[in-house]
Amino acid sequence: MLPVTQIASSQIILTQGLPPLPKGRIVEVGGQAMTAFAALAAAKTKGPIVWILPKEGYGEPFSTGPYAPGLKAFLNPDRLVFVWTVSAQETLWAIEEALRATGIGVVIGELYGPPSLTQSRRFQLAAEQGGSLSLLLFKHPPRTSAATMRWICKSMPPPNGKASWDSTLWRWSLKKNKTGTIIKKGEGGGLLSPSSHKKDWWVVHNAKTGSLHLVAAPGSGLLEAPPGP
Amino acid sequence: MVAEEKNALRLFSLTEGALATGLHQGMPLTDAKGVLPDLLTQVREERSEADLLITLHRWAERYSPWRAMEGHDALLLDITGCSHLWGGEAPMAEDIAQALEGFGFRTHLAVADSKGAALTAARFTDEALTLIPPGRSTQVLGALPLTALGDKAYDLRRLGLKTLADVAALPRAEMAKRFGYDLMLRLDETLGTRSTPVSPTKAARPYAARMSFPDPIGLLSDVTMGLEKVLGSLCRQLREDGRGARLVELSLNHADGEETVRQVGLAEPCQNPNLILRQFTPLLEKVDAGFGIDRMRVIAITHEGYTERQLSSETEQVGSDKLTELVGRLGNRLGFDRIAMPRPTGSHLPGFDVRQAEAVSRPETSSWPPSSAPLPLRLTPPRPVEPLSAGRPPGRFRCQDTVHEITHARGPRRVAGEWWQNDRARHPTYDYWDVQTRDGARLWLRCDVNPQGERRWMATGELP
Repeated sequence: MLPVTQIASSQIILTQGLPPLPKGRIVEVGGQAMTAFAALAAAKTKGPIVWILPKEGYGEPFSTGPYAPGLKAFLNPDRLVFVWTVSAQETLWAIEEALRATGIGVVIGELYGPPSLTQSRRFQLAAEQGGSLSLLLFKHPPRTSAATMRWICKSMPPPNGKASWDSTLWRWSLKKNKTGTIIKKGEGGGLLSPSSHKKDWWVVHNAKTGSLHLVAAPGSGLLEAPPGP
Repeated sequence: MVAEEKNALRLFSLTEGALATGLHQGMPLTDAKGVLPDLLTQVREERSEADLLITLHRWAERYSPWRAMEGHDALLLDITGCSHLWGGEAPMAEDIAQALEGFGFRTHLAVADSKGAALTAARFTDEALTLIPPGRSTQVLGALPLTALGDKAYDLRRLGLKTLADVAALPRAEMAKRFGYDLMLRLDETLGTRSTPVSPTKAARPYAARMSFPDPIGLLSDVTMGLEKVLGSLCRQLREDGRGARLVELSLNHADGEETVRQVGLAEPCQNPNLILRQFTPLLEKVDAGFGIDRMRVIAITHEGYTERQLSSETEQVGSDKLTELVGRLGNRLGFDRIAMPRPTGSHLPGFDVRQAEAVSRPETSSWPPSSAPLPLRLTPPRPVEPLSAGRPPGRFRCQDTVHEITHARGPRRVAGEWWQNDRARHPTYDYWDVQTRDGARLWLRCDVNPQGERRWMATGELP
């Protein structure tokens, strides 16, 4: 039987082989390459990108906020709407309001600190109302939360020691997933066993072509998907 | 006073002293400077002139309720039935002239039995005050030169005609055949033989609604219900004129004489009472009603033309609608300056090439300049890099307590400073390097280009 790809509007497929990101659910993204992950996910949506972030050095030339000319490589910067908050309380309120609004492409929230379990549940309820893709970026160590997924994104050195400026290698690890078990293809013959849960993906992004591919972990000898042109 | 006209700066109005030296209106400024090298000039400000005329228009209500503005320099009063209050037309005109002189204006005043005749007399005679008795306008104005007829004057002068009376004396049918019927109409208007009505300028209408209560109210649900009704009436007024509110003020009069005033801003012109009410709801919750509220009033302080938009099923359209609502809600609590959309500034310096445009002002979509090299997704404040080995860039370095080892580097990309800017932070020239570290991160290093050959390295961001 041929594999049928279903593109449901309720989820975002970053690339073939990666578990899709559900809409209307909180997805936590951490690690040093989280901004790129958020930008790639946002590029797959339509409508405004509402980005709530702490107002550190707001208005100064080198503030820590997202840098639109850099993000241009991934998405149209005209879609960006930044909401700058000055306190943890404001951040929580603004994220909740943005999540609850409908018709927003993606809500990206950056918090001052880890949300409490109650707050995280409130986010989840608001996200269900709004139904937009909801990403929470965190720099702090993760805590128990009501999030559906938690990704840790790391950038990796180029595999064979050669400089590859156009392509970037990331290791995306799924640390938490409430959407179901993901079976690694070709292993265990379809039987469910704890070891068949796939949790790590090595992803190559080509800045020139904008393509995103899964690749085998360096040194494993397995090739999961062609690296592409 | 100078103004640009026909591709040259020309004299627009002159003081009496300047007129005495032989300068005249419409003369190019360069010629005038040749005649009078130390001529003092000032550029004409049409906006403030128009504002002044509007102010005078309002002031003139003391003379007549029926007033209009004509062109950029004339004020018309229909004084039918008003002049007897001043004891006749002449004393009234003198009173007006004196009052205007008191303000410091030099004016030309004319009273005539028709609008056209009064305008002609005021604009083309030299006297400060012209009184034309009823039915005598042709005789009084006939001696005026042909310039009063506008652009046809040159052709008429070639026929040997000199005054308005000369033109009026010729057979009308022949003249109309040769110069067009427009000329005859213009002549009639100028001489006042054909009367044109004075159509008064419409006064700006305030958009406001109020409601008084027989007994003071204090419950939040009651106040909300009252506000809903008042806003409904406000929005009906706005809808009638095709306007939409941008800033709405609510004032609540308390039973003990106090007043609470709250304002909400809207991200785009709005006629929907529910949307405005939703912005007020969180503010109302915080109002202390005290002994109760007995009167409320809403005013649309700022309003704009409202364009009805067709709702389309496209996600983009609906998205922008919903975004407007969200921006309004967030902005009314956080402040509208905190909700921004990035837009390019046209500068080529990293960090100075983006400005944050307030989302409430609905910035235009823009064309972003293409970037030649990959840029970081986030800029960080420059962090000093301490080199641990030689090289350009250093093979090993410490940055914020982390030691990085470089496997590959690419650069330099030199970005010259903007020395013409006032901001000193924009002046220096930097070299930018992309470096690949052993642990996977790609850093964006900045190197100060220093004439002494001394290099200072900074990390300013992380490349994707």
